[in-house]
Amino acid sequence: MSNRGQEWRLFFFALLALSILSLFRLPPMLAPMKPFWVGLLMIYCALEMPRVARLGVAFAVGLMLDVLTGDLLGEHAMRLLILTHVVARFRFRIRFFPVGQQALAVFGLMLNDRILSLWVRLFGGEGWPDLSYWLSPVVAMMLWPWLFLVLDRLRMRGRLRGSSSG
Amino acid sequence: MDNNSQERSALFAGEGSSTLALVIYLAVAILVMIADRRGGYLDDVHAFAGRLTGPIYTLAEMPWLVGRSLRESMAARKQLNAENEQMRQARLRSELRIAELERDLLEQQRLNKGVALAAREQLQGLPARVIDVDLDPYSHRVLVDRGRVSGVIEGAALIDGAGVVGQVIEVRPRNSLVMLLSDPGHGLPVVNARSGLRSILNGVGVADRLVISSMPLSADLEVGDVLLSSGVGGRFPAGLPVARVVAVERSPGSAFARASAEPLAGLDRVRELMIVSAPFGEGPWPSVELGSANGDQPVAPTSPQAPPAVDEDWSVVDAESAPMQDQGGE
Repeated sequence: MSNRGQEWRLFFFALLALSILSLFRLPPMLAPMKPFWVGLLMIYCALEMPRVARLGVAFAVGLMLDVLTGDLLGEHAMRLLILTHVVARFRFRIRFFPVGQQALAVFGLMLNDRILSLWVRLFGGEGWPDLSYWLSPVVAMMLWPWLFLVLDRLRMRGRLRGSSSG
Repeated sequence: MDNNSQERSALFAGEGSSTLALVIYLAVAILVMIADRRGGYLDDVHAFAGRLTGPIYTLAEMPWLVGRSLRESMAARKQLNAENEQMRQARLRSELRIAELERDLLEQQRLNKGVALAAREQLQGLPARVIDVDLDPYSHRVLVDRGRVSGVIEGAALIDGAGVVGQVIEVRPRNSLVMLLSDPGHGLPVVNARSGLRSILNGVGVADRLVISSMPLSADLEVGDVLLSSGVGGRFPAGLPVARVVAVERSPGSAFARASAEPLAGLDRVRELMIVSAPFGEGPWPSVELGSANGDQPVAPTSPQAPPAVDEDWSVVDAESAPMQDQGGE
């Protein structure tokens, strides 16, 4: 039970940190490279903490992001739902991939996410974005192993502490 | 296929990633998107949720604020002096410019007696700063650091030194969300400063391009014309410079002419802004008395509904002289 509480605590902490990170303003050159941080978090949760990564959670987190970024309400919700669902579906395969292959899978997921986002934009009447729009999945792929390591380390530490104290 | 094991583990873990749940959630998400885009049924939801976001923006902006204050405290005295000198010169130039404009204005008023060309309403201006957070590099929205506490109302215009930047679409307690002119959802009623032609200027999702998509082929619009906000439709103040026409297409095949214009303000690099709003809140038309053109004093509109609980000093600016407009054009 305390294990579950630990997982939720890690989730909320990471969610807060990554939301802030995704609002952080970068120099204009780097701005298009900003990865979809919260999407990466949901991938991690769907892989390692399936009790946290429920569709309802993805939906709620997505709505929160929509409010935070002033976007169309429901856009992030839809993207996170699909992301979470796909990862949950292939969880047992992706989980046992070697790191490189896993990063590649993350690239595919993020590319798919970008396409969804583009689809919403086109519906909203916006034109095609320039090429830099597609940089974000690449960056996400390169950052994935590090994020995975950090989150995993935090989770393990939480688990150890939780078991020793409880 | 490990379908079986997956089912089992789903059962044990109680995770709800069944396809049915996905379909239902997706349908809800899409409905929400449609409700939000069409007709703004969710304004109350936005208003409520927006109230909770303030602290997160503050946290996200913190490193920039610290960086700026460090930089400012370390700036050499010499540099400050030089800057000061520069600003003094700039101020002199703009004062000169204002004097010129006032002279022109008087002349114009003498010329068209009785016809108040631009409504001589008094506007209120409130300096604001764009909050240093990046909502989405591809969206046409920015956050500014003034909200309801400072008396900002929805629909207020934002201008930079050159022209209109956008308008407030959501007022939160201590910040507000601004839609830039370039958003495809943004349409602004404008009037051609030269010919008086009215039309609607739309964003297309690109920072330096705005279009007027449906005007009669015979419409009096030429390259180089300056478009001013017309104030039709309510709360957006009239007479602010918005854009300059860069191309007019009259293709014989189509029933309408199409023009593209370039915003006078630099939409993709705004930092320091002024929020301008007519002081009389609602109402389809500003209740200003047109026609009393002989008065040198602008008609001071009595506000039935002054901005509530204003803790900042709104300065009164003239509709005409607020931004440094140059109607001459090259």
